[in-house]
Amino acid sequence: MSDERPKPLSRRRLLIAAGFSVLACGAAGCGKRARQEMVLKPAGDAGAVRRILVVFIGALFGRTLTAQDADDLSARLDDLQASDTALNHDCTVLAQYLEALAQNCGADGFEVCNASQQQSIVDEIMRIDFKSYSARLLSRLSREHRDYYRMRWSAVPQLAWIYSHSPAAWRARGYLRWPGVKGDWHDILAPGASYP
Amino acid sequence: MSSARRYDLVIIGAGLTGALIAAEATRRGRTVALIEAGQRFSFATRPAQLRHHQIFGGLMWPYVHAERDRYTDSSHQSIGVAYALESHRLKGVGGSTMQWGGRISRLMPTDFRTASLYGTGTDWPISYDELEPYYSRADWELGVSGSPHQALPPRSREYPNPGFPLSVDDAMWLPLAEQLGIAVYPSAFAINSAPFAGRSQCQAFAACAVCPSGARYSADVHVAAAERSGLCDLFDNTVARRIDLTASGAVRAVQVSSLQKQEREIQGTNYVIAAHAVESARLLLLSKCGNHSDQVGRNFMEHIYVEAGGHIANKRFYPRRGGYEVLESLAYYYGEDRRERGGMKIEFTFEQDPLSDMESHHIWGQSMARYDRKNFGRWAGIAAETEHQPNPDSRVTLDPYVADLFGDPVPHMHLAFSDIDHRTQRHARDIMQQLLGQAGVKDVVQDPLTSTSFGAHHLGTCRMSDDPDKGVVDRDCKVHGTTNLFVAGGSVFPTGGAVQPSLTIAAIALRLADHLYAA
Repeated sequence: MSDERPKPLSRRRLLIAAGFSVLACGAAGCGKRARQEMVLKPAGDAGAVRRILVVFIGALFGRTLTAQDADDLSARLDDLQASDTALNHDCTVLAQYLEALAQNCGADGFEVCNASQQQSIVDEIMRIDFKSYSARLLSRLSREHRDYYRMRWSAVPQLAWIYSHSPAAWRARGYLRWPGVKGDWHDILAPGASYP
Repeated sequence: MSSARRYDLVIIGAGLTGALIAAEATRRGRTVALIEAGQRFSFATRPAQLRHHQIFGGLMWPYVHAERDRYTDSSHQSIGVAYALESHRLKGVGGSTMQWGGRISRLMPTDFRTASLYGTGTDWPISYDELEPYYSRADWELGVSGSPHQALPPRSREYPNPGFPLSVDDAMWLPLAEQLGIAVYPSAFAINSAPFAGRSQCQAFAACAVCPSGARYSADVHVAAAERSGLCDLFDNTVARRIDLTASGAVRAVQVSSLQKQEREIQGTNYVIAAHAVESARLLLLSKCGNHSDQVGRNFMEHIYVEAGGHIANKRFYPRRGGYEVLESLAYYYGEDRRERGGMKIEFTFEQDPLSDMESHHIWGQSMARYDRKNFGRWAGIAAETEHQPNPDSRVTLDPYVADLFGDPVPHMHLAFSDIDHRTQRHARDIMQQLLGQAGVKDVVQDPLTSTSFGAHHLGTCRMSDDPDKGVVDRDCKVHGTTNLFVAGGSVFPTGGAVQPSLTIAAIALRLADHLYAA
């Protein structure tokens, strides 16, 4: 058994704890106000969500996607929607958020925003803080905050992963084959395509 | 419930070791029970498996059973990072060979005598020469593609498949290596460069962790061979929980449970534990077997990868879409300073996707497009696979506070480095700075140690030693103090060298099979 006496809570620690509480409450209030300004509307059916997300992926990577790129990405998003309920929810929230931001820009939807509008919307999404302690703390306050946090913490990296492991990313670099597509190991003996 | 059948051999673990021994035993007419905690994977599902990874990321083979595979870890207290056991192993038929890169190497002859030669580690009770015939057999069992090179250990038989030549990227290093006097060579792979043993040649899916063509060896090949003999019963999704040892030192039976908690016992004449260094040690500890000298679980070793790289502005390489890289060097494996540091093998890498820098570099949109255009294919990196010295404080124990699916204590991981390990890693960093600087690489990034900086090579914990006070098994892999219980796999390595261990694991398995059932 330890003979050490328990340390009383010092005034300094008490003040620090109180300070954190005030900050957390303030941040929560701000966060809630910010969310309340954004009226999320249904982004449509699963197909509409996919179309919005494909356009978002293109904007996220600064790419004008070809129809083939869009088809490939859409097929992968279809798999995601079908087999992971939580991720599908996060992506749907992102699509709704993109639509709401597009309407704030005066557009009918994210898909029909011009390149400049899309870029500013992507900027706004990417600048959402999801790494700080306060962001994590906020995400536990309500379902609304949780959705907002997961949209950035979960959905965006997932979409980035999908793109970077898709034919779209490799085609942009001039490749005709990519991981998962059968090839010829003798490829290693010849230079590949130059970046277009 | 007891199995009606009594087997000649009961093997726990259907990974590389268990599969090879099962195939050898059935080839010699012996009956085998092969017990595997994980599931059987259908070959036909590999393309779907690969696509799943391309969409969802995470583990390439996401078959971790949350309750069965529970473990605890305190490695961060000693080495500063956690040890992510679940991403460093695969429980299932074929074991971790289902998700390996296939790179193959023999230990150097000096690795068997580090105590005598350098005063570090410990000597193996067997020599390279004793193991060499089994290395050659292992090459042919696995279908290794390789090219002879003077830097490599002596061999008695040629490789079964021609080696993969240096790629155009690899060749970039050749003039520099020559200038520095560093011998480089194409590494060997358990991937078919030509059709072999009923498996196709490499189809370049460039996604080696799930090989859709089967050109890369995986141990389910030998499990299938054992089953085809009609002499092998595979018990998948079945967890070995206890070894019943009699007072005379003979194993009476293995107690197993299905994932639905149906219990039974399986009996045999001989028993082999081949359940990876973590679970093999855990089973011995749970069964209170072989631990009279408190050696079980100690000396857990890994290979620590020290990595660095940067961009070469004036040259663009052409990454082969991921997959294996070929060039490596043993130039720093030896040296006069080996008394002060461990061995290291250098591997040259060219795969680095600029798109993965999105979050760390805070770039997206047009900036990301420009960044990718500028940097894709310009990455030149070096990875040093470094030796982890045996250390009794680096160990696997039982966690008395956390239980698995069956209520048994889970394994507790605690990796530890000794001073010489730190010196080895520092030396590796110095070498990389030097090599990359001389190659004209800019903006060199030295990767910090992370939970993924390991080779996923689980070694030690059931060390081989002729002295029962210093090891768990003898030179024939028999557990000291027992008459019919054997342990094989990476767990019996007294030292780990600085090369991929799979071929040595296979060689030891074949040697044990010969010991049990001389041809």
